[in-house]
Amino acid sequence: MKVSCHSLFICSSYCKRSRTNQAGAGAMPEKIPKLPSEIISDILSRLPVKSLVRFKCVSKTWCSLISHPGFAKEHLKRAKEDTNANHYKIFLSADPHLSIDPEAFFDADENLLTAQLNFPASYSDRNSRIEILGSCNGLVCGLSHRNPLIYIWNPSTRESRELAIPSSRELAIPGSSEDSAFYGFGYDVKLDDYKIVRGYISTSTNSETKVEVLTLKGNKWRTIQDLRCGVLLRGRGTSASGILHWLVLRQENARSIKYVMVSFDLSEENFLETVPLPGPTGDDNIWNLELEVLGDWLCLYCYRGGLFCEAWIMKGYSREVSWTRILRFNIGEPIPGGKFWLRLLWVKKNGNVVCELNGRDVVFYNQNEGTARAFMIYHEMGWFDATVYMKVLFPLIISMMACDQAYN
Amino acid sequence: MSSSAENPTLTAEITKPSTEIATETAQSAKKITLKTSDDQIFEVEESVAMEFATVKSFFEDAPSSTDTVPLPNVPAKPFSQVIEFCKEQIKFKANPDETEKKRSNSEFVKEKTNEDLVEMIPVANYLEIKDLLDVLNQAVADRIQNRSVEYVRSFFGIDNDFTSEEEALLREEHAWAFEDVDED
Repeated sequence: MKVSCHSLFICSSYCKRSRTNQAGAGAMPEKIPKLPSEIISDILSRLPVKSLVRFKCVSKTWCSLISHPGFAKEHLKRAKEDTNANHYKIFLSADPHLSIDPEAFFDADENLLTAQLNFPASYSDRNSRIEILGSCNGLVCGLSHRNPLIYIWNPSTRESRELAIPSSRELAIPGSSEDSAFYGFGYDVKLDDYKIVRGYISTSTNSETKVEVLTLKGNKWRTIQDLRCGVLLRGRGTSASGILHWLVLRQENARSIKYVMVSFDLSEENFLETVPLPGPTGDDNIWNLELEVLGDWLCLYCYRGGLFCEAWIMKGYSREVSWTRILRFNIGEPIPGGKFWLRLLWVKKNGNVVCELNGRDVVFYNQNEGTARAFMIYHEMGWFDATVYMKVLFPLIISMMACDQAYN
Repeated sequence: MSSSAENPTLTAEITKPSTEIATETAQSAKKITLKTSDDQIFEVEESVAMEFATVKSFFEDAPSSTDTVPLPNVPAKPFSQVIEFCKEQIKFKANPDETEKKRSNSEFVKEKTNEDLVEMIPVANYLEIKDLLDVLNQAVADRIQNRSVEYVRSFFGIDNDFTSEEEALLREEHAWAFEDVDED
């Protein structure tokens, strides 16, 4: 059992503490009762990341508990279950990198409250451009073109780690030698580890797509079975429930092209049957189709005929798949320019929508009133990228001098 | 009333609220006698006592028992506060109102000192009162969230076992987490 490993870990140190405490109990009449380790763990799992990072200083026992991967998992679980508070933030790779709390904005607010994010300077490119390869739970996986380098970053704890780059260095860069490189980042439940998947067209072979996988713990690229699905994947995959998803346009016949969704199971490391998409997705009037994650759900949204934006939530897989439409609104009006490039980032608890518009503005759209507020986000390059992340504790750097000493 | 001889003052104290309830319901409800770790006797209405999972399973094993139930890990002071909470809770069982329940719970913890909370937690834990434990743990989390490391140490009575060098290193490494902390 996963839990037992965790509690054993704390228990050994806790027992030591309570014994010493009992000895001194008589001497200190006003002593505070020592709480059992599982209670301390429960209380701490309710705290935000910043408090937890600070409370590593309380004692060696607390430091070890907070640094333990088992505790991080408990913290993540509680954050996902807790519906009272918002544990999600939107990361904007702008100048500087910003985070916004999508639930904290109200229609009457004059300004958009942003917080500057402490992104490791060495990972930034010229013009501080970063390529987001994927985001899962609290972790953002990115690629810097300059070195090149692939890294993992937890914006909440400000921890980051550089990862191995694939053996064929030049192939690490999407958009250079091969436009058709694709990436994905997600969590493998069975392995209890995060994985990065990357694919590229090898010019030396018969243009089969080569696929490689890296696990965070192993930090080594490993080639897996080629992708043979007759389509070219590109860009970043969207991760939901341990499965990565890409949308691709497929030529159906001489007259029509159609969107299909290609999925990759992170545990089994295989590509799955294509899943039927909702609505008339083969419609000639479709302008664009995108994938995003809303909470734990995979969300498909489309702009139909340049007039409407629709969002659908996917439940179940393969033959049992079902799509539920969660919203539909007019995007020609009142969001000026909304028909060109609009990306759904978040659906607020009150039903309002947060979007990215043309990589330039963050737009808050009030569905009931039909009104929108746009906030321009500065970036020297002219556009920003955005992804949603959770405020969680996931430890990227396990070894800490001070804490290690308590248990060695 | 075998307990009155042992501890007349306390029994009087406890009997008073019990009679109030009795008059309210106009029928005398079955009472359960519980003995705390500091040898104080509590007479609690059965419906309230059944909120304590530990006590409930005691009676499931021995349904006809009229014995005093010993609570070896439960001191009287936090126990009386726990009873106060459970009395409120059973009202919501008959009449579920989530908003009112939340309000009542937050009212309950608001009046309590830090010490009260920390003393009640092991009691709620031992008696397996899940709702109360959840309320208490959340209340403690809310109280320490924006506080300093020193405040938290004294809150839980934890000794600092870091050397000053180790602590300085940790603080330096995570300096950002020490910004905007409430004053003690």
